[in-house]
Amino acid sequence: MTGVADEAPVTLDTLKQLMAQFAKERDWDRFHSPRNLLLALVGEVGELSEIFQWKGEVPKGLPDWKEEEKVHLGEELSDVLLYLVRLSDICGVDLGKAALRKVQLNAIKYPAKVCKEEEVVVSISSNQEEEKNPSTNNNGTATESDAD
Amino acid sequence: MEYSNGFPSKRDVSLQELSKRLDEFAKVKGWDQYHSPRNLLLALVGELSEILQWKGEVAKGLPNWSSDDKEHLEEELSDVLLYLVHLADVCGLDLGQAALTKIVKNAHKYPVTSTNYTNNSTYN
Repeated sequence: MTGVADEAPVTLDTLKQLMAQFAKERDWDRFHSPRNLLLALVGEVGELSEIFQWKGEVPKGLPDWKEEEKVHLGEELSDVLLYLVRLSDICGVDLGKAALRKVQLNAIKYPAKVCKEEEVVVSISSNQEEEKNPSTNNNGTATESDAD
Repeated sequence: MEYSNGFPSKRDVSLQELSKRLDEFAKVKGWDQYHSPRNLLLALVGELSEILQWKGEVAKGLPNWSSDDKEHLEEELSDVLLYLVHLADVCGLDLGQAALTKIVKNAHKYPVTSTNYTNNSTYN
């Protein structure tokens, strides 16, 4: 790989640059609008979902899965990631910075000892609360505070 | 904990680092028990549905978007990424290496031809 050491941690910026080069080389830039990329991403999540859809609940670490099934899963997860990276790039979003910020905001918002007392809000954390209380589950959109 | 350092300045972020932070986060809050592969996949699908909702067609770089709207988009994209990273971890996969491998595979599947670009760069 050009400029990529297999031993080094893989960074979002590296993936961003590889995807930008990939699209440029094939003259795909003109097709890469935000909504086109989002729909491509949704399609890939569909393919990822297909891998799990008939398996019922599966344990962590996927014991009993064949190696080829795990490789296929890695490929589908990668496709989702690569489209997400490309979409972020085209939208002008620094995905790594945004993700670190989100993780840190969640940690501040949900300190360890009082997390169960916090009101459910829209964030990666709120989904965990919803999972604990399925009877009160609501669509994230319903609690969306952003009004356009 | 690194949180006392405040928010990061711009720098390259590895998937490994995000993975480590998410693992700490889930353990500290006792959410590990809920993070089965299928739960995380469905959570990811939920976050995905919120991206660019009601925006119509938008141009690259999102000109004319307010900073609030851009910040909201950043959060949605981050949520999808964080769920994806955590899902890969819970499945025992190295997402970074899998992604590099897939890019190479895609490059072979969609070879550069002389008709679409004069400079034939390669990943090798």
